[in-house]
Amino acid sequence: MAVKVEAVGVGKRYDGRRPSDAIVALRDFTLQIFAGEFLAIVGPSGCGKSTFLNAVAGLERIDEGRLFMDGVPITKAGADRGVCFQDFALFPWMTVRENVEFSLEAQGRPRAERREIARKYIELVQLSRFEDRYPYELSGGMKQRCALARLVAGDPAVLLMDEPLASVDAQTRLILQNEILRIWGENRPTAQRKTVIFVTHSIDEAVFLADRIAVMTSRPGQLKEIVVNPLPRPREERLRGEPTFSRLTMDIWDLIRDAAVKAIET
Amino acid sequence: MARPRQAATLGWRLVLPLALVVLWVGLSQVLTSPSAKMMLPPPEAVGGAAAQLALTVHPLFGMPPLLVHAAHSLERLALGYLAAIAVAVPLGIAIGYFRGADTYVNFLVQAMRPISPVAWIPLALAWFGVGITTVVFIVFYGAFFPIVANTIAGVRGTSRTYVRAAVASGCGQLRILRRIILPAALPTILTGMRVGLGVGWMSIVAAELVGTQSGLGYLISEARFHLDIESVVVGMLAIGVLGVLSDRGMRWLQTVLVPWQPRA
Ligand SMILES: Nc1ncnc2c1ncn2[C@@H]1O[C@H](COP(=O)(O)OP(=O)(O)O)[C@@H](O)[C@H]1O
Ligand SMILES: [Mg+2]
Repeated sequence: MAVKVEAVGVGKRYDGRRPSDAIVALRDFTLQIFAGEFLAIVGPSGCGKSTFLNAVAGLERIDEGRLFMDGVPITKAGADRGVCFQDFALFPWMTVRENVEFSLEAQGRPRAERREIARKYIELVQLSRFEDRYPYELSGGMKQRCALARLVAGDPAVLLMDEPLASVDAQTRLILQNEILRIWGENRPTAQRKTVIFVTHSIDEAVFLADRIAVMTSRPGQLKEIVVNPLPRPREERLRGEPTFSRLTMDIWDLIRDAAVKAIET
Repeated sequence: MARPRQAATLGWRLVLPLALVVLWVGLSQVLTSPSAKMMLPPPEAVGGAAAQLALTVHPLFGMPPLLVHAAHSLERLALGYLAAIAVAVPLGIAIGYFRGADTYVNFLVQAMRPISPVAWIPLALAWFGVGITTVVFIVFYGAFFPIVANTIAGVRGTSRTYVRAAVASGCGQLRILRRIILPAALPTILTGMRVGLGVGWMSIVAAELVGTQSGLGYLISEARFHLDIESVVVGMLAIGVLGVLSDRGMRWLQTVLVPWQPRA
């Protein structure tokens, strides 16, 4: 399988006001993500998950190591990667349609073409009735669906999702998990799927969605272990009740429990 | 739902002004000496002066004098205020957005801000003489700083998340300015424009007291010269009414230009 994104010995330090305030967010972080793969990253809070995602997005510079996409070093943001932020980051002054069109607008596509593509994705996330509404008029789940449509409208090869479902309610969350799988291309052959890096603090979400789950250590974040998910695709709701599902969830929890407890206490 | 509440708040808004009028009527019944009438003219005298100023046609202008003065004030206000917007908004964006502009201009802006528009009247008279230019300049100066300060704050206050989201979409600098920073700053800019309009009103009256031969400020200063205290009060009331109306206009503009915010 082709490597889509590769991190080799990546280190990232945030300088504080004083030298003693400097925080090492990532140290010697090495990971390969394959083309068409759905990879989840879990780890204790503050371990550098968002930092890594932002570095892949080209929004954050790294201090050490190297970061590649398709074998080319990542130096800046680009339309080949799409980012979905935890708090949606929908633009409040744009309607649903304008938000979804935005990445196409940024690519300089003509208006009519933008319209048509946006309509398709708005339909995909079932927001057609709301396409002229502003974000403040939407529920949390609708906002998240709009953010998903905006994410994929520009047709990026790599989807970077930073806890995209953290702020929606539990039921909406289950529904949106299926929607994310659909957008990723679960029903298509691997070659036609997008590549997803999905950061979450929810272990069963990672197990339900991902092909592999990268477990990180506490800060400075390193790769602790990669867990390969044996659950068959397409993922169906009944899998949540299978012994394999709960065993996998427990195994991963065992890997991060100590660090997670420590992250809360410090 | 909204209508009765609006009517109710309108009613409440009028309570305080009405109470003041009642107080005014009451006091004028008690204070009846000629000197007291100079300090607080009775309402019916002010009403008479208002009718005189607003209804009788001035032989020179062919219109009631109050309308002529109000029209002149409004014209100067509009000129100075629009010029202030035209300069302050682009300048504020530049200062807020580009670090370089900040270093060179911000210091000057901050130093000139505390100098009251009134303090500029002597210099303005020396430069432009008695007439419309002086008044327009003073209005410009007064309205300028609230607008520029709010524009800077609005641009600076743009959430980093939005800028990052735009950058992540592969968006260029100019488009970020136009599609992200400007709309994000717009509510704050409009607040600055609203404050600027209020300061513009204060400035114009001060400037017209000395700088021209017409306008509501001139009306007040002329009436004072003739010890016509009733007309002074009419001039003040006219400014109050026009001020409320123009502020209403600004609020309407806010709801039109910022449709993405929930109505408060
Ligand atoms: N811009 C920043 N400046 C300084 N420190 C930061 C910044 N962003 C993140 N950090 C710190 O780096 C560490 C890793 O952060 P982050 O990648 O957001 O963790 P996670 O997403 O895993 O919770 C945290 O300790 C956080 O406080
Ligand atoms: Mg995070």
